[in-house]
Amino acid sequence: MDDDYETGGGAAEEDLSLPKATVAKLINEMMPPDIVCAKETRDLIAECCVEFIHLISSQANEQCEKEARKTIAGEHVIKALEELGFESYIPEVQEAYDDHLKTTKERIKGSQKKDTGLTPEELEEMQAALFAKARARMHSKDLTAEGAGGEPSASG
Amino acid sequence: MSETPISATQAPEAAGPTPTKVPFPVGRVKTIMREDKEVGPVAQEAALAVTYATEIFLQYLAEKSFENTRDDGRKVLGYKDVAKAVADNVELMFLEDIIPPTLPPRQASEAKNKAAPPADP
Repeated sequence: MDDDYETGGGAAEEDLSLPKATVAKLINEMMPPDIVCAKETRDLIAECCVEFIHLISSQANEQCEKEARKTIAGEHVIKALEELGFESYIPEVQEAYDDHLKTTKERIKGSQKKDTGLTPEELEEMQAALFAKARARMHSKDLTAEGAGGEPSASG
Repeated sequence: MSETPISATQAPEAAGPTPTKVPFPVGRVKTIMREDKEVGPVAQEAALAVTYATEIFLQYLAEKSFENTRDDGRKVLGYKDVAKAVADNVELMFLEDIIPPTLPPRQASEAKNKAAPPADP
């Protein structure tokens, strides 16, 4: 790959970046209608995002170590954002995270909600009734089709 | 006969503005975080928080950059717009290493030659 250049003298990073399509989409959403982003600039912005991730991770890691904890938690990330001057992001991150939790919980609840409170017999009855309705509808459709048929009736 | 719904399991989805769905794959973000050997295990919630923050950051950077494009009366967002955004905003200073402020053409091509083989314009 000749489009990647090494950013530092340290260990050569693998070609790990954020999905280009997603980056492009997010950038385009921000762009006013009269401005476009050059492809190379998109890639550049993607690289900046990767740098940002490293920055936050490193800071969050420090925070985690200070507390003698082993795993980096959400609170360490929040603290890192604060310390690096990105405190304005915190409310949005918090909100998005809370919404995500809520949506996940609702989804789980929804999928678990198979129990409608009706007995299997009642459900079968409902189903049978619906099938009967559908059959009746189909039957009446057939009749209408014959009546309105395109073939002119042969008249004497 | 009252119409009974086929299944009552269809819970209405939360209406209203969609919360920021995670745009970037959280797994990828986590892997990027762990690229730094010093960074230890990362909780899923932490990776999620970083993912959201990165999205906000991208939007912020894009916005600051295209403002420069507009101020310059151009229609295409280019390197120098991003570089100017980095130079003008203190939170973006950490990017100075990878996006140095635009240099005069000669210096810029010299620096480029050092970093990578020159590409044909």
